[in-house]
Formats: sequence, structure tokens, C-alpha cells
Amino acid sequence: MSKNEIEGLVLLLDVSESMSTKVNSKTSYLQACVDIIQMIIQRKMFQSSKDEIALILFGTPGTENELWDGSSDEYRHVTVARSFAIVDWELLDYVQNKISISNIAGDILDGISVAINHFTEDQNKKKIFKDKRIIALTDFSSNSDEADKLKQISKELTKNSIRLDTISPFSEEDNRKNDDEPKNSRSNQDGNSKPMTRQQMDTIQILRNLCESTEGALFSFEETLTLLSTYQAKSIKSTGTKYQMTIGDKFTIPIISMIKCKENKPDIFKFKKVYAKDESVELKSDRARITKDDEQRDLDDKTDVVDAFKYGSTYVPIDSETVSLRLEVEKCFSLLGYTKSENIHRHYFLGDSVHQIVPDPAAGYEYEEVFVNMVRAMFEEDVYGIVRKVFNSRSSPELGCLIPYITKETICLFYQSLPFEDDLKKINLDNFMSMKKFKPNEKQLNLIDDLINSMDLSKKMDQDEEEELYDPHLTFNPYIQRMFQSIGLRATNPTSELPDFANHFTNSHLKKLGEKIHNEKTEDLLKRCREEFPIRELVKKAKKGEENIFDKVKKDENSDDALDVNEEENLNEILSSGTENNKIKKVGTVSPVNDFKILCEKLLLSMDSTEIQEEFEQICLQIQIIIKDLFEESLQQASSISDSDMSDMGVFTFQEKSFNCIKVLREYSVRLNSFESFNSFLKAFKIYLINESKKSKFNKYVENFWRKFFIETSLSLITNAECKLSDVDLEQSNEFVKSLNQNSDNALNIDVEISNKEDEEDLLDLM
Amino acid sequence: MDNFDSFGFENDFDDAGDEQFYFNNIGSHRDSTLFLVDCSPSMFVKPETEERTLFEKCMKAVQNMYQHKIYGSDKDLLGIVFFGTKENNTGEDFPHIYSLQSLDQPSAERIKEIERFSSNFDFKYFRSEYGNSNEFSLDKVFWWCSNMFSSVTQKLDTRRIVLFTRKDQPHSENKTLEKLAKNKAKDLYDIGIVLEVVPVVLMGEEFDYSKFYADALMLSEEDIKMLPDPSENFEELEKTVRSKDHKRRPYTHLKLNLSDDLAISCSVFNLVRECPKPSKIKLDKKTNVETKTVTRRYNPDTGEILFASDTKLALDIFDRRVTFEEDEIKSIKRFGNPGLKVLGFKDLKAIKPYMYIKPGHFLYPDEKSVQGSTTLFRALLEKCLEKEKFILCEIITRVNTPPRLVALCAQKEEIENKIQTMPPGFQVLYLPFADDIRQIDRVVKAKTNPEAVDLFTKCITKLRFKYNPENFKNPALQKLWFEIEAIALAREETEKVEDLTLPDNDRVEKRAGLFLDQISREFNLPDKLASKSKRKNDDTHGILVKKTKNNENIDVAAEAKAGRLEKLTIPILKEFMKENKINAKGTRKDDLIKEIKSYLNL
Repeated sequence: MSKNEIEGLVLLLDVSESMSTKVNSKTSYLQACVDIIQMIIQRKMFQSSKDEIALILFGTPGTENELWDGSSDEYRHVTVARSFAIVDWELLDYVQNKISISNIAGDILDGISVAINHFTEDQNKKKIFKDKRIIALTDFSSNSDEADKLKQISKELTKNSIRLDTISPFSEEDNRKNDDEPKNSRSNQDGNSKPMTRQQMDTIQILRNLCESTEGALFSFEETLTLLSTYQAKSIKSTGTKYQMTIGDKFTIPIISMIKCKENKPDIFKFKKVYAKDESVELKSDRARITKDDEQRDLDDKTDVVDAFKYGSTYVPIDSETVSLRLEVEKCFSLLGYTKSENIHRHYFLGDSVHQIVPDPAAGYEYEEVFVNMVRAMFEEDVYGIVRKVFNSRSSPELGCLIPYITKETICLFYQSLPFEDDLKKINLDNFMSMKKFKPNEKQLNLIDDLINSMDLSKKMDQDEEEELYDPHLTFNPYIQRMFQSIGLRATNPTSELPDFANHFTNSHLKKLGEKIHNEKTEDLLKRCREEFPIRELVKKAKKGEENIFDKVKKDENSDDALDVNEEENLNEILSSGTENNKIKKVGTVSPVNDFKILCEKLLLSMDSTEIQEEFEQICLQIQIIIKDLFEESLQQASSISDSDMSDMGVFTFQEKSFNCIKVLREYSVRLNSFESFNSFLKAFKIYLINESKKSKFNKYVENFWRKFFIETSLSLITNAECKLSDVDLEQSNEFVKSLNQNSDNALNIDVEISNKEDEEDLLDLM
Repeated sequence: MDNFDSFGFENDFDDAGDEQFYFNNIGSHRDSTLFLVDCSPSMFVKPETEERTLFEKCMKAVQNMYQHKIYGSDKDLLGIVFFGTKENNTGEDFPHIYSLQSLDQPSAERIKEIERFSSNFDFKYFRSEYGNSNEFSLDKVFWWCSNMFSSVTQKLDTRRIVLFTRKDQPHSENKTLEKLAKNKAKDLYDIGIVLEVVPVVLMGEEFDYSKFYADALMLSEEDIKMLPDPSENFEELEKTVRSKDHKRRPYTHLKLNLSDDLAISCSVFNLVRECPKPSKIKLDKKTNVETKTVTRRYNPDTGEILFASDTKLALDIFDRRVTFEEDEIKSIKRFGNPGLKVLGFKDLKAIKPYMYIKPGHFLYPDEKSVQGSTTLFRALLEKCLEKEKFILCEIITRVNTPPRLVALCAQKEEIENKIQTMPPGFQVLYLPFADDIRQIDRVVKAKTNPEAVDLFTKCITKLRFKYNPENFKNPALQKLWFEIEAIALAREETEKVEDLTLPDNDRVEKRAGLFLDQISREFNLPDKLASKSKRKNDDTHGILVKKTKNNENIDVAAEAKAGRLEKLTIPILKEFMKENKINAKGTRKDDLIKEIKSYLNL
């Protein structure tokens, strides 16, 4: 980089007595300023910047500068702590450890004069800076109010094109408010500062005029990161690559492609490994090649191995000398055609960067003209170009689009690479936008509408401010900042701990973007969102493995717990948005309980009451058939077993399944007030059981079934306690569940209230 | 260290996170597909215009699917089962079923086996070895398939059966078998095995789903209407089989926080990621056993082997060594729990074309962990679409990954030819920080003139086409795979790459040549540009231009032997190292040269 690319920066720091004022309980103004200076220095240092920085203090007890005549008060108490030089550890150490508050009041105008002088003086030494800048850090407490001096300073700044910025504890807002009501000095909202004095207000006024006349600005501590951004942008220069952009065989425009946007990963973040006990020892690594089998034989990387690829699970050795695996290509930048901008979705974009394409100035002005007319036409037609780009004959071709971009200042194309078919990962997901279940109501939609308006970052803070609330050009990567700071800290104080990042300013940096719009109204809207949108967090359970139903006999050994598991099964997990569950249209045999639940829940969500009853009956019928099928299956299992072992898992499994279905059927019958059909069913089922129990070989199983499930859990008819209209009272219900056991031989004599003969018969038919 | 880490700086912490980011989907999860091919006599007819029987065509489609899997996801398991054969190899309980290939990774051997059926088909041989029969029971067939899936020990993410058949009602005469088959199909569904049917019919022949498969596949009438016409479909059998292979698992799940106490849950998918090239591995020359490298770190002073706990991470800045514990680096990177935080809303047009740093994600509501997510998600989506706003969010994808800013852009469902091409959700676009955007000083000041713009407009109109990324395959990747495939399958000829990214210059000339010539005349562009640009090569008006020397034919090895390595540029050296998988231990030229020399035994 040539000398004229570098920036000269004077950091002008106020160390006057008033700088000991506290920003908060821990930090004084001075400390806050020192922190900012460190940040500036670190940024320069860790990005290997060649820019030069000088440090000038004012309000120092001593005096050391070129302007002071050695005796007068003019330019007294200003110290050039460090002349222009590239940043180094010495400077950082100095800033961190050697700056202290004085007991006198310095004069900022003297400070600025010395700073200007430092520039001109250096110029005499043939140091030429491309940009010149002074950053003054002060609380505005002190200045000598000399109109002449002020005029002189202003003239000098302009003459030497030096930009002046000021960093202070006071935000722009404070300043302005103080302007409006000069008598009502007030502290700012954050309580960061004391009320401003008359003196401070006057000084601010003077400095604002000065800054503005040099295109500089006033920054508050809060806005420091924004200030830093104005550095960053300049510190990375893009190098360009030349191409010949071709359209057809004959038409060519020489262009240069430069990176416009790419994730910045500072080089210094690449660590090397050192020995913990002796940090000066850099570790060496030793790579050995061994066979990837049990033998793990050592091999010589050069002589014992051959290149290969894997084709599925097959190894395919390739002799690179005879086979060329590379596509033969030539460097190019060829236009395939144009396409409507809507055909290119932003989410197609691939690669790690965006390039800006400009005409090659070396080719002559006529090509620049051709270029701008082409871009203009593309812009007006709203089309993007599609190009094939090959960097050199060793690289792979890529496909990209050219996006026309026109601003007041410039006209150019952006190049962005596009995916190949191979790169697209297609997915198919249900369209929840058309599902009734997830349809937000009018009230909810209006609420979101209000929320979006209230949290709109596009709106201006006030009329005369152009700045938007979020601008990527002014928003920093907090991680890089944090890393810089950690390195700086560790370098100057190797033994000290890193700061507690949980409360670090970098942590809230991004959140701050939204803070300005987070007012009472937003809070209120968010509160109402919480009320209007029913949201419930579900505890994540370990997923149950899918069971293979064909393995009938194999079953979980803890099947005693199985009942509980089923009960616990989180319904909402089942009712997830996944595609699977929406396909369930019928109660199936494998997970009838879940199917039934899902179908019932769907019913509950989606339809009005008359429809619910109809649909529900359908579903009930389905599960009733399954209940019976499952029970029959259990009997079949039983009959296939020679010795009548009651604990046989197969029998038990099916009985259990069958019973769980009854349980869930009952649960929803109660919820949907459908006691009649359930009671009828249960009665019919019981009669069926009694009949089955008469067959001697099943007797034990049926009895066991009733005892183990119905009696133990007292699952019986739905009583009037559960559903008001039910004609079964608790006593009858208890009686009902008891009886199979008591009087199995005389089943038909049991005291069952059969209320609806017809239904009963239908169900018996079914059985 | 594995082979994947072939080039690049292993101590670059920032990249490590990204690696994971990109390759997360590869490896741990496997999909499985079982091809179930009807071998009953009806499959052995030839369509009028064709040389091959329906069965052969099915097997060709299967073979293509195998090859496709090898390119994309060779860890997935594939298998083939014939049914309606006479012979069986599945035990007496499962007659008329022949298990050709169990579920396993595809391989060259397996593809060659399939080729016996897809090309070079010998019907006589088939009859004697396998035979045909109509006496099969789909119930048993499904049962057998289910057994095959359950015998796989690896964790399977998806299980799929693709059934090729010509019969829309396989058990028309036997209602019991039909009922059993339907039930079993339902059972398959219940245990998470997806059954798909590919109808294989002759031109004009119908395939009536309602007869049997509607029930077996649990399709509604509407679903059936959405299915493409089978007779047309068969022409693109391969494409059909492939297009169904779109089951993707989310990359991760993240909470979308509207405020500290209002959060919904989202699944995060990756829609576009660069398809990785097959990586070169090294085999033991003698045994063809795969090899790996092991990296040991040692103290050069003592030769002692050191473990991670003995090491610290260091940087040298301006001659000062700065060290950190690994945990400290982690703490610097830790900003909070993974998730998305809503910062505000902004106009879509505020996203400028250059605001991009890496491929994004796709968000879809996840009802499983936060119930009610979908409704709120949908309300946001609807309103963002309506008001043309995006949601500005802070995103942390995993615990020790620093935050980034993203724009959530509303995406409507898109459907083309009855097939969903884009699900509804939010596109997650990464936005740059100030650190990432570069200042470019070159300002183009030339003025436009309406006539020239008009000429270009005509040109654009003539050269307009409908871009779709699906129409472009990566030619370099294809070339590599074709070469590997030719060797693996012992082909005499390598399939030729059709490079669709090459411009069709003849067409360009024919359609727009006239206007382009006119433009050239208008601006007095020289006929031969080359000479001119060379002459003025040095004058770049302050833009730094990479000197891209003609490094195309430099034989680095030869240069090295001649002792001229120092004369070559760093990019050329790096390129050479990359090709030969030489690991660079430094970035300085001297380091690179040292590495290359040691590689070449110089």
C-alpha cells in the first residue's frame, strides 16, 4: 500500500479534573474514553493497519508541545504523549496504564490547535496522509472562550481538510434538548451523566459548529461502535480480477470484478497451538498414515498408497496420470441470456461473497459508456443476466447472475453465484396456510399488523434525521469486537481474567437495534400477543421407538409399566404439525389409541357441535371394532399356547391394547358427553365377554382380562357424576364392573340396566 | 484427523464452525429405500415402440436411482425385492418372493448385478433362475419387506418402499388376500414405512388407484387427482422415482423469540447448499485397504506427545505472544442460547442486492415443542406478505457460534404442475455486518443515452429466457463422477458431459447479433480488443488488480525440480498444494515452498 493510502489520526483526550465524573458506579468519564481509545487502537493493530495515530492529552499538569512558548498560559497543559506512528503495544500499554486524571482544567481549543499543528508539522516531515482526522474525547467542561482562536482553528481545519469528531458522555438527544431549554439542565435517560453546566453547553455549541464544518460529528459513548464502523469500511480494500465479459462470439466488454461483501474473518483469529507449560514452545504435528482396519499398519504416504474414490461402498483406484478428472475449461465470463428478476429468488444465492462488476478503466471510456447503457437497459427491463464464470483453467465453472444496481453515485452490476441442480435440497412440507386448524382469527391478525407497525425499523426517528434505525453499514460484528478486546487485554495484562461476557456491551449490541422501538406501545402489543395467541411449551420426551408389529410375541419386558406409558403419552406430541398425523383418517390397528386421540382432537378443534357428534360416532365405531379384534387376537394367541400360562405376554399384550382402546374411548365419550353409546357398547362388550368365557378354553383368559383391567382400574359405565344426563349412578356402575367375576356362570342374570335395546342389539351383531 | 480435513488450516477456529454448518446433514442419518418389483408375467411385455420389456424399464429406473444415490448420498441404504417369481429365497413362509439385494449401501457390484436385468437382459435365464408366477400374496410381500427393514441395525431416518407394478388390482379374485394386503399396507404405514406405487403401464393403459391402491396407500380422491397420468409418467419413470426422494430432516430447531416471554418453535431447513465433491482417499497399494492419517502433536524440544489439555492457543502480534485456553475462546464466542430474536420489521426493499454473506435457511413452524407456534407463525407470515416487510432477527445457530443478523422473508407456497416446488415459511437470509461490506472507490460516471439503452433493450428482449436452477447440472462434478463411474463399472466409454452452462453463441448471434454489431458501431468499439487492452494493461485507475499470469500450464513439480519454486506466485503454489492434498502449516511463501519440496522429496 502506498503512503498516500493511509490515514492520520490524532486522539485528543481530556484528562481534566471533571473527567473523573462517574458514568456509572464503576466507570469514570476518563475510563470510558480510555476504553474507546483502546478499541480504536486494537482495531488498527489487529487488522494490521498502516494508519498512524498520535495521542495528545490536554489538562495535563505538565506541558509538552511545539506551540507552547514555555511560559504563557496559552497552549499550556497540553501534552503530545505520542507522535504519529503506526500503532504498537507501547501505545496500547501507555493508554491502558499511564493515563491519569489531573487536578486542573484543560482547554479543548488549545488541544485542537496543538493537534492541527501536529499534522502540519508532520507534513513538513513529508508525511502525507490521505485522510486526516482528529477525535476529541471530552466532557466539554473546559475551554477558553476566545473568538479569534476559534476562527483560526476553524480556518485551519478546513484548510488542511482535517475532520473533527467528538466523543462525549452526552448523546445527541441530550445536546439538542439542552439547546431547546437551556435553563433546565437535565440528565439523560440512562442516568449516565450529571446535568450539563452552562459552560458545557456553550462548549458543545462551539464544538458542534466546528465538527459540522469539517463533516465530522458528535458521538456519545453509546454510539462508539457506530463511529468505529467508519474506520472498518476503509480498512479493507478489495482487489479486482479482470474478465472479458462476452455476449455471443464477437461482443466483449472488459470488466473488473471486486469483492463487495464477504464475511470478514480477521487473519489473526487463526491460532497456533503451543505448549501450555511453556508458551514459547510451538507444537509440531506429525502425520502418520495407517490402514483403516484392525491391523492399523503404518504406511509411507509417498510410496505405499494409491489415490482412489469411493463409488458407493466400492473403492475405485484412479491413476491420475492416465485419467483426467477435470473438466477442460477456459477462463471466461460469458452471458447465457437474461431472465426476469422474479425468476431468481434470493434464497438461491450461493457462495461466500458478492462481487461488484465495473468496466475496466484500462479499456477506455467507450467501454464504460457501453457498460452503463447495458446496465441501464437491464435495470429498466427488470432483468438479471445469467453468466458462466470460470476463474482460470484450473477452476470449475460456476453459474451466476448479474444484478443491475443504480444509485445517485454510481452504476454497476453485482455478481452473485447461483446453485446447480445438484445443490438444491428440495423439501416438501404441508401447507399450513390452508389448514383451518392454524388459521389466525381477525383479532390475532390485527394485533400482528399493529405489532409490525409499532416495531418498524424503517421509520425515521424524527423528521430531520435521515438515518434509519438499522443500517448494516453501521452495525458491527460484536464477536470481532469482543475478540479484539480480549486479545488486547491478554496482550497487555497476560495474567488477568477475560471480562465477564454475560454483561458485556457486545452482548447487547445487536439487541440495541430493536431497543429504540421497544416502547410502551410495543410492550403492550407484545403482552396482548401473549394473551391472544395460546402458546404452550411442551416438555420434550425421549422419542419412543417405533415398534414392529409383525414381531407379535416380542414385547417390552416391563409391560406392566406399559399402561402408564400410554397414559402419559403426550397428546400434543402426537398432534404435531408433521405430515404424518394429518394423513390419519381412520383408527388403525397399530396405534389405535393415538389414532383415536388425534382424530378426536381434530374434531374438537375444527367443527361445530352437530358435526362433532356424527363424526365422533364414526370414529367410535372404528375403535370399537378394533377393541373387539384385538381381544379376539388375544384369544387366538391363547389358543395357540399349549399350557395355559396366564402371564403369556402375547395374550397380555393384545388384551392390554384392547383395554387401552376402551379407556381412551371412555375418556373422550365423557368429554363429548356421549355416554349413551359408550354405556351401550360396554354392556354389549360385557355380554360378548361372558359368552366367550363360557368356552372352557378361554374361560380363564376372559376372566383374567376382566379382573386385571376392568376391576383393577374400576373402569365401568359412565355415571351421572361424570355426565349429568346419564341414568347410571355410582352404585350401578360399581355393580356392573364387579359382576363378571362374581357370577360368570350365570351371566345373563346379572343386574344390568339395559336402556336401549336396539343399540345393544346392533352392537351384539357387530360382535 | 480425517481425510476430509485435507487442506486448510486446522487451527482456524472460525471455519471449524462453518464446516459443521455445511456438512451437518451428511453422515449420521440414513434414508432407506426398498425397490419392490413385480415379476409376474404381465411385466414381461414390450411396449410397441420399444425394445425393452416393462420389467427391464423398471430395473433401469432402479439402476438410475442407485447411481443417483451414489452421487448424492451414498450412505443411504437401498435394496431390491422381486415378487411374483416362481422361485424364492425367502423361506417357505414367503413364497414367490425373491430378495435380490438386502438393504445396504449402493456399490459398483450391486449396480453391475442390476445391469443384468436392465440392459443385457436374458429372459431364459431369468425364467430358470427366478421364474414368473401370479400366485403371490402382497400381504406376505409387505411382511417380508418389513422384516428386511427391521433387520437393519443402523439407525434409519426414513424407510420407504417403492413398488413397481402394472396391476391396479393385484388380488382381484381373492377378497381375503386383498383385505390382508390392505391391512398390512396400513400396518407398514403405522410403523413408519412409506409405501409408494409406481404404475408401469403400456401406452393408453389405465391404472385405477381406486380399485386397490387408494386404500392401501390411504389416498383420498383428491390425492389421486393430484397424481400424474401413469402412462405419460412412465416415460419419465426415473424422474418420478427421484422426485419422490424429497424427505428432508431439519438442520436444527430454533426458538423464534418475539420478546423475553413470547417464543414459538421453528424447524430450520437448508434449501441450497453446495453439493460436495467426492473426496479423494488413499488406499494401501498392496491390499486396497482404505487408509487414514493420524496427527500427533508433540513438543519439538522433548519429542513428548501432547494432548489437548497440554496445549494453549496462541497468536503472535507485533512480536508479542498472546495465549488463551480453549475454553476462553469458547467463552468469547458464546453470546447466548441458540435461537432467533426478533429485533424489528423492515421494508423488503431495504435488502440491497449486495447484502449477502452465506447461504441461508428456511423456517417452518414446529408444533411439537411449542404448541400454538403454527398459528402465530402464520399470522406473521400473512402480515409480512401483505405489508411487504421482513423480520430483522439476531440468530445464534448453536451454543458457541457468535450471533449474526438475518432477514426473515415471507415465502408463500408455490406449486407447479401439481407438485409443490416451495413450501410456505420464512426464508432466512444472512445480512452482512459493517465489517463485511467493502468500500469500492471506483465510480462509474459515464452517462446513458436513450438510443443505446434502446439497443440494449432490444438485445435483452431477444436473449431472454426463463431461468430455473434445475436446468443446470454442475458440469465439473458430472465429469468427475462419470470418470469414476466408468472405472467402477468397467465401462468402455465414459459418459460425455453435456455442459449446459456454456453459452449458445450461435443462437446469441442469430437473435441479437444485429443489435450487438450496431452497438459496437455506435460506440466505435475496436474490432480486436485484445491488442488494446494489453497496451493499457497497467493503467487501472487506482484499482488493485490481481495479476493473473498465465499460470495454466505451469508444471509446479518440474519447476520445483529445476529450483524455480521461488519464482512462482503464492496462488499457484497453493493451488498445487490443494490438488495434492498437501497440508499447509503456514501462509508465507517460504512455508509453502518448504512443504512442496518435502512433498516432492526434494
